[in-house]
Amino acid sequence: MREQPLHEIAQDAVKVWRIHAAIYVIIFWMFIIAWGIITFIFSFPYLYTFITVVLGLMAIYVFIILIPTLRYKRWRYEIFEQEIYIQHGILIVKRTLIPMIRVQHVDTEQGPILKKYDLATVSISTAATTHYIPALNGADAEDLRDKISTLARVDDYDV
Amino acid sequence: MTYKHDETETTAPIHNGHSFTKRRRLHPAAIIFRFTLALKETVFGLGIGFIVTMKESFIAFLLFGGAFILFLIGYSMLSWWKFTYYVYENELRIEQGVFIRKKRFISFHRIHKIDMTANLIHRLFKLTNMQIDTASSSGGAEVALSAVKVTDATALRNVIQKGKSQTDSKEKPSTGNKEEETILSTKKVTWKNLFIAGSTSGSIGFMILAVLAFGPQLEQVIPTSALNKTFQFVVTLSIIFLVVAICLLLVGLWVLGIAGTMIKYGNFTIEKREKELFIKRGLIETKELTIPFDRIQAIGLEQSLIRQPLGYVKVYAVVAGGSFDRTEAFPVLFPLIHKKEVPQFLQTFMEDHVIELQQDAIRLPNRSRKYFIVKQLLFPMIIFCGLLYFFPSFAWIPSLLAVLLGWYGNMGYKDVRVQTEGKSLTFQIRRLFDRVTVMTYKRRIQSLKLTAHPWQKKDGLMSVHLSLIGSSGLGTHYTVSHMEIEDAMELAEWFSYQQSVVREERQIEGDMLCEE
Repeated sequence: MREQPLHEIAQDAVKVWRIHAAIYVIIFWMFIIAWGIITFIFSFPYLYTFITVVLGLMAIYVFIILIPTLRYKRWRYEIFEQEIYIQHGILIVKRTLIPMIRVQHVDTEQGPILKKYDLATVSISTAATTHYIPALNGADAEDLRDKISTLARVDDYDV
Repeated sequence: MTYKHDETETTAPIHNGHSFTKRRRLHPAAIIFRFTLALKETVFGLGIGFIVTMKESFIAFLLFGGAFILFLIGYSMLSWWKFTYYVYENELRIEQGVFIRKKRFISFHRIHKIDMTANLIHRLFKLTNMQIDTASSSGGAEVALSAVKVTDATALRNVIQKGKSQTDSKEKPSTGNKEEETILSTKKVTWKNLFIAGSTSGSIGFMILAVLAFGPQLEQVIPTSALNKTFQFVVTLSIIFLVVAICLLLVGLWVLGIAGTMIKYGNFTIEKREKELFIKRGLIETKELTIPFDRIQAIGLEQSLIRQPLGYVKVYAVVAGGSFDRTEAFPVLFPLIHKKEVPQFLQTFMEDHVIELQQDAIRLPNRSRKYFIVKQLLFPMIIFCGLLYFFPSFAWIPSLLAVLLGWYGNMGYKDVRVQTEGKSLTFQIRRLFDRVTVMTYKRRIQSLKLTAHPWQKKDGLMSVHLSLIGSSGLGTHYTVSHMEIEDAMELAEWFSYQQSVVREERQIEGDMLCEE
């Protein structure tokens, strides 16, 4: 049976995902607070406010604490000479094989949050799919990009 | 043909013979196409203008509209006048543009395919619309010569193909007067098969579905509640009228389906040439398509629920970049053929892609059956439960549907086959209402993904997702669901380019450990 890929992604990825999730959860909480104020002004039953607050707390736990950790644990990649092997997923484990000779181009991307932690996302495109390796150390990402693009340059021999 | 190319080319005379070294114009019918296209493009803005002017006065509206139409006609004529094409040193050159002059030079060896289509107007004047594609042009043609005489078009195509073969293989001097590419074999669809195709197309499925859904209810509604009371006679009558009308509508739809298929696939002909497949079809509007063999990613057989018991299949090709039109993602290689004839058909036209599932092809283990049935039932069940709650007396309808869906899910389970043979992969899955059998090669698969959700993991199952190049940039994706984990892994190993290396390395590591 195929073993899982060797390398883990940068540990800071968890922090980045937490910040990302926090942004959405904050927006959700703004709605909860707004609803609370409406409930207070028009003296609606407090039951619904209570439910939304519980949901909000659950969102904090699930999206900010639980999911980033689980996702980080699962995320692995390995670059072979002839193929790229990626594993990710939270509940559903996904393992992807991308032959080097099928790679069309490789990009690195860096958003503001990733930049803060000196991380970058590597995206690998074939003619039919695009695959991401999120949050690698800036230097690692560039190395990886160069490595893949060198390996992918090999002539398309008939297999 | 010793036309010397010089800087005064813009004043070169327009020529109408079979030589393409001199500048030529399109057939004047191009003005009509140009005009309708311009009208189509501006009709929205025009509409707003009309509404605004209509409020002011009808005369202004007429004047405005008339002036605009005149302008469009003038513009179309001018752009026809300014559009010229000619051949110069293995290049097709096109100059166009009324206000901004555009020149486009396409060297022959960049030209990937030449398609010719003809609509009614084209046929009236014995013209054709030539679309010339290069590898880069993914959407729409690189160059379209919208109205060329058929004789001229074939001549130009020959010139291009001759020039192409000269530049492509210099060691092999051109054989000279090779007028048409040699046709190795050809097959035409019979009218009988086309009729079967039409009568079993989607419209009949819709009909059966409608009858299944409403039939039993009608029976219940009419006799009991309405017929007893005389004053409701009219109501009954109107219900009967409604039933008849619906039946007529359905039959009409069915006939339309047959007619549509006949028009679309009428005169369907497939030709095998040295490096490509050539398809011609259409009763009213003739469409031609050239598929170079090296662009074919996979060959598929599609068998709809209705055609399955009859044993008829549709053969299609997954081709990188483009089909006849946008409504059809993949070009149909043959609209309807009996499954017994398929191996022979593929042997003749696509000898690399003969689909034959062996007896020992991988099937699914018994424990994955439940996933297929549950998948079919999951969402309908929610609705069924709701229905059951509100209309308990009609409980038999959702129950019957549930049984049918479960049976259909079981069918999806039974259909799955996976077979690898050397570098080729053949698999069969059920997609919506069709059973599809696809054959592709390892080198055509862009990526392979294995997935397992917690329940699958507990059952030792895995789904395999394969991505091929599609007609658009998004690719074509196939999923073989709930395979035995060992089989899925074996498939991944078959696909893996690294397997031997990894195994050797691990072997060496293991040996070293033993030595220590």
